[in-house]
Amino acid sequence: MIQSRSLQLRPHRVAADQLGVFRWGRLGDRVVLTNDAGEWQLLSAADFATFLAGELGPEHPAFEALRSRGFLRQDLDAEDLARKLRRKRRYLGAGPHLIVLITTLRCNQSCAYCHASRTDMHRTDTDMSLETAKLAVDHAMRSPSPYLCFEYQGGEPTVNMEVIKFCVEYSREKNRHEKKTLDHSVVTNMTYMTEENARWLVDNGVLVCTSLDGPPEVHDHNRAWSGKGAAAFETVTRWMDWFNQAYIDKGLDPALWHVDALMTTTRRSMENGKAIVDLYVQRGIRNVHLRPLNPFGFATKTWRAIGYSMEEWLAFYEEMLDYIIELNLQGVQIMEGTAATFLKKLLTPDDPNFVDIRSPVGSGTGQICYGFDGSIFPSDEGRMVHGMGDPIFRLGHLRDTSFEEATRHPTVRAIATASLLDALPQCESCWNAPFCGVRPLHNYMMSGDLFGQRPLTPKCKQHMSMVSMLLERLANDTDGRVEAIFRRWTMDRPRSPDANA
Amino acid sequence: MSDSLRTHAVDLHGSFYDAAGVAAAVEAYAELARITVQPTGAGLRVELVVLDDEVDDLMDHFLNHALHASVSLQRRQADGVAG
Amino acid sequence: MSSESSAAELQIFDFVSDGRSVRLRLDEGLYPLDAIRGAAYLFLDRCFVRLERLEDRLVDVTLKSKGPTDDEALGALAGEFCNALLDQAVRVQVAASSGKIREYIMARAFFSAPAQSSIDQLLAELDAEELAADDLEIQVPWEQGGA
Ligand code: SF4
Repeated sequence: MIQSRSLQLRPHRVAADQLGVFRWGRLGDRVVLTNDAGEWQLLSAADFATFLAGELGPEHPAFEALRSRGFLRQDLDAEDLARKLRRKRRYLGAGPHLIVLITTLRCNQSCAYCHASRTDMHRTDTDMSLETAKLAVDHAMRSPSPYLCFEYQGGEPTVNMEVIKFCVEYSREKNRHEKKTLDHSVVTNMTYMTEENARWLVDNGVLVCTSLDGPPEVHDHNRAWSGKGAAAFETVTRWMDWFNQAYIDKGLDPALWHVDALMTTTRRSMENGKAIVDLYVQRGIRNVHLRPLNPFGFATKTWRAIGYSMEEWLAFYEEMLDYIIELNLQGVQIMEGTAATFLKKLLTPDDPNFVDIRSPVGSGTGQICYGFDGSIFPSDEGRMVHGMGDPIFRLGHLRDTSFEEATRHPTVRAIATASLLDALPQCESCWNAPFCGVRPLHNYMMSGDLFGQRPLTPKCKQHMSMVSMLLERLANDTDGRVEAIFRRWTMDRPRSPDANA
Repeated sequence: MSDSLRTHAVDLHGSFYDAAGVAAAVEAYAELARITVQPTGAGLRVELVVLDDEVDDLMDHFLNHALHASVSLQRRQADGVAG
Repeated sequence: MSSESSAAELQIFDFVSDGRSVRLRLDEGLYPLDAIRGAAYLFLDRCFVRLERLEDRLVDVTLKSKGPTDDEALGALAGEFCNALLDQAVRVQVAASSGKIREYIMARAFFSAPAQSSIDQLLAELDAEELAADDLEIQVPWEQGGA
């Protein structure tokens, strides 16, 4: 049946000539204003209407903040905003700093959610050769970035320990002339660790990052391992203890030197959220990084068993965030990793230059990835797409493609174009754009299109909801205790450079 | 299903849907429908013959895709970004 | 486009629903094309959106539910769209008014010499432009009433 109806909306006036440069959006009953310099301000909907009408006067408690942050035309300090913006985008043109090296595809675990194309342990033909490793270090060190972080991944990277050792030593030797700041970090499942290798990693200041999905019932369930009698959980935690004790024995500050852990959230993790956080606290890990599973590449049956919707994940995340804040209020030092990334954007004048959440995204401009065979990719995701049989993101080979050719490759330019928020519908006027980032390679894996459809991408929903949650908690923080905790999460202390020498 | 039931036609105005956006949607739906596009004075006429009866609302899906692609392209052109 | 424009009048949106979709007729003179397009884009995940131009300045927006629905839900969808449209219209107006200041800030941040020699000169130019501008009123809702 056809029905005709009408609705009435009460309009407000806009005194555009009194307003500064800003983006805005509605968060429940509040309105958030932001600008490119990373400033933000929350107002009630009624105050926002008054602000838009140019009637919010100096007597209003938010007036000074609105004026000094450039949201009002009055006293707008364009030079100050330009300075802040330049500082926030310091990463532009700085060149890749994250260097991902795939030392081998061999792995002794077969995890339910693994996307890294892996091979069985006998496939030594998927090991990186020393010759390729040398070319990779030479290539990477041409990056103009004054800081480089070499991240060794696999497969299980320690299966090819020789290449890790070579890259660490060779890059340091080369760096006598280059004088960059270098970090080395190995992402290991620990199940192939030996005392000799562990000792070498500690003595050579190589950071160790592992995967800890939660208590044994979660970790062992997620990570099928036909190990030597011991379960994966027991092995990982034993080695974490070993490393942490070795750092202490060396006189290193445990707040800076400890094994970092990443967790992957499956459906089973969601049922055990608090137990996972408790385990991290109990093991002295200060950063729990809650990440949703990437939904691509799964057989429908597997996804049904371990997967979930973005809405379900966000509900889980919010519950965990509040639990982590609660622990902090009781004096426990633990932070949530992605929240910390966004808080650095919201509460400090800098950008953490996290390659996945910036504009443009870091693929090829903030990071570069070398496959075991010397293929060059803009990021590890590009390498995975290649592993699935689609060569679209291969930028060339170390033998015949210079660093400059790789980082200026048309594919890198296309990725940058597809992730410049100012050029994307919805992002271009979104209040969250100063803090957000889109991932064209992720879009490509989901939909075969670099651009994706903003309202349809789960990442958009994820980023917008996470920043909203943080802003809401700051807005409701009457005594400043939550802000104090959040500010602590934004503080990074550099590790002593001597330890890397 | 008879052919007339499987055939849908719409006129798309050039101020909302541009040729490149519609072409992107045609490419995306090529396996599900036989689609022809003719220029009209003000825009494009799209005729779509459904090949896969399993998918409901195929024309609506197609139009959402075309609008998304058109808005995206217009946005990038406005920003002077190629690609 | 002035802070001195008179108190806001209620804006009436007529729409027709048929159990599966709802159609709104909009006057492009009141709502800029960019705002209509921007609002339509925001609804692509929730429903099927179709934009049609009837004649000069008149635009029909059809929002069709992706699944089973009822008239109440369709009415709510129309309401949300109208609110989003008014929000988008404010964005378009603010962007138009502050676009040159934003360009100046970008130029100062990333290039050494912006087109304008100083922000004071730019603001003076903008003031002059705005005085001469028409007084298109772009409106944000705060009350929604059924009829
Ligand atoms: S991806 Fe989503 S949240 Fe991020 S800037 Fe774009 S529209 Fe906003």
